[in-house]
Amino acid sequence: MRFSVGIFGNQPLPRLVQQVKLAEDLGYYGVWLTDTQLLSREVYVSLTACALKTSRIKLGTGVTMPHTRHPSVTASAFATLNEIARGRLRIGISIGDNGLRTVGRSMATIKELEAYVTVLKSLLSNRSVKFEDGVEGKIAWLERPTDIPIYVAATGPRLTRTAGRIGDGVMLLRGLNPDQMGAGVAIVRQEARRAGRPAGEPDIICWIQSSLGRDRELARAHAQGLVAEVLQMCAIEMFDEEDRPAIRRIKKDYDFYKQNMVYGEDRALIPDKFIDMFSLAGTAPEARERIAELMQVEGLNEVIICPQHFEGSPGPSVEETLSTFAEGVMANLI
Amino acid sequence: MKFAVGIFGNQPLPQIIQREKLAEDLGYDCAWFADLQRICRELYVEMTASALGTSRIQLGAGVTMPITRHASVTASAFATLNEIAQGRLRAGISIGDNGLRSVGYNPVPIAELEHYVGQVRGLLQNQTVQFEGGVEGKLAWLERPTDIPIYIAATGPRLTRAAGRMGDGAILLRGLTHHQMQDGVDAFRQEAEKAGKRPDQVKVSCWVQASLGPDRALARNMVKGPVAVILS
Repeated sequence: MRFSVGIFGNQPLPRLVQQVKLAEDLGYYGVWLTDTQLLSREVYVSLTACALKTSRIKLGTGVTMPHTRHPSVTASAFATLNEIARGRLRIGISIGDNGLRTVGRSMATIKELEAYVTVLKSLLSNRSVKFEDGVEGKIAWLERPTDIPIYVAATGPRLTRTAGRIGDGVMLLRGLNPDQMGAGVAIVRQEARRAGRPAGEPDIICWIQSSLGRDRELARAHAQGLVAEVLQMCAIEMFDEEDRPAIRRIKKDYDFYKQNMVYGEDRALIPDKFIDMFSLAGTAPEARERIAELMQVEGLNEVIICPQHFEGSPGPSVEETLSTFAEGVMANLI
Repeated sequence: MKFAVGIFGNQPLPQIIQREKLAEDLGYDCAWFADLQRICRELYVEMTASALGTSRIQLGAGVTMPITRHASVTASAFATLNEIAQGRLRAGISIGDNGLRSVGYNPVPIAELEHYVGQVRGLLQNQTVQFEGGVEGKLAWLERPTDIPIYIAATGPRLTRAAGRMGDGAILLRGLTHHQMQDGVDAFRQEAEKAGKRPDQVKVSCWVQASLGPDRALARNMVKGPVAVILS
C-alpha cells in the first residue's frame, strides 16, 4: 500500500510548499493538490513551486476538470512540468465540483470529461488532435511522448464505471468503510475487464479526509468541516434511504466560503456517523486500526490522506495530521 | 526609458529560467512571457519557475487572453504568484491571437475582453465579482487587494483606445517607426485621460521583434520569421 497526501491550497504558497516538503521527508509517496481556483492557490503555480523544491515525491492535480482551462492549456502545463519533474507527475481529473460551482458553471458531463481526457492523452502522447472548427494540432515543442498517467476521480457508480474504462488510474471518493470501498473497486475492475484491459489496470487509489492528532475530541470536531466538504460532493446513490435527507440538506446548505461553519451554530449538521464513514479522525491508534481494515480491500493500491486547515479552527494543523499518520500509522504498517 | 525582454518559450524550461536570469543580470527591467500553450511552455509554470529563480526582474504575461483560461483561474494564478514575487508582476492581456487560433478559436471581441479584464481586476482587488448565472464569488484566500497592473496589448486604433479605458498600461505592437508609435501612444493616453486616469498612472510599453548580433546579414535573416508572425 502506498500512502500519499492531498493538500488543499488555502494557505500561502510558501507554507504549502513546506507542507509538501514535509510530506516528502516523512516518506509519503505522492501529493495531490486541489484545483479550485477561488478557494485554493492556483494549481500549476503551486505544482511548479513544489516541483522545484522537492526531489522525489510524486506530484499531481487532485483534481482538475474541464471548463476552466482549455485541454491544450492543461496538457501544456503538464508537459512543461515534465521538463523539471520527469517521472513524478500524475494528472487527477474529474467532472468538477467547487472549481466550477463557485464560478457559476455546471459540472462537466461524463461525455465532456471523456472528450477532455482523450485530448489530454493525445497531446501528452505527442499526437495531433482535432480542436474547434476542424483545426488540428499538437504540442509543437514536445519531442517525445510523455508517460504522465491520468487518474479519473469518481464517487457515483456511473462515473466509476467510466473511470474504470478510461483512466490509467481511478481515484475513489467513498469514505473509508471497507464494504463501500470494496464495492467501488469491484465496479472499476468489472468495467476494466469488460473493456478488455489487462489485469492490474487501472491503478486504484482512494481519497480520505483526515484529521489526526493527540486530542481526539478536537480532531473529530475539526473533521466535521472536512466531511461536510466531501458529503456535498458525493453521489446521493451512495447513501441509504434514511440518510439521504441529511445529505440533501448538506448539499443545499454547504457554503464554499465558510468551510469552518461547523464551529458555528451548524455544528449539528454532520452526525457522528458520517464522521466515521467519511473521515479518518481521531488519534493514531484508532487510525491504524481503520487503515488496517481498509488495507484488506483487495486491489486498492494507494490511500491519500487529506488534512485541511480552517481559519480559526483549534483542530490539528495540516502538519500535525501528516506527522501523526506518518509516525503513528505508516511506520507500523509498511 | 526602461528596457524589457519578451520571452517566447519554445525552449526547454530550464533554458527559459536561465535566459530569464541572464535578462535580470544584464539589467533588464521586465520579462514578458508569451502565452501560447501549443507553441510555448505553459505560461504560469514558466512564470513560477522564473519567479523562484530571480529576485528583482518584473514578470509579465505577454500576453494572455480570454477563453483558454477562466478569468478566475487567471486571477488566482497572479494572486498566487504574488505570494512569491510581490510587486514584481504585470498581467498583460489582449483579445488573443495564436493561443486561440491554434486551437480553432477566433480572437474575442473587445467587449468580451473588457468583461474578462473587469473580472480579473475585481478579483485581484479582493472584490466580489459576478460570474455566470448570477453566482457571486471572490478569491476566498486573498487577505488584501493586490496592486498587479493590467496591461492591454493593442495594435489597431479601436483596441488601443479600449486599452486606454481599461488598462493600467498598454503594450503597443506597431513596429518601430516614430510616427506610428506616437499615434499609438497619443490614442492610448487620450482615452486614459478621458477615463479619468492621471498621466502618471498609466504606463506605455511597446513590443519590438529583435534579432541582433555581430553578423548583420544573419541577424536580419533570423528576424524574418518573427516579423512574419507580426504581419499575420
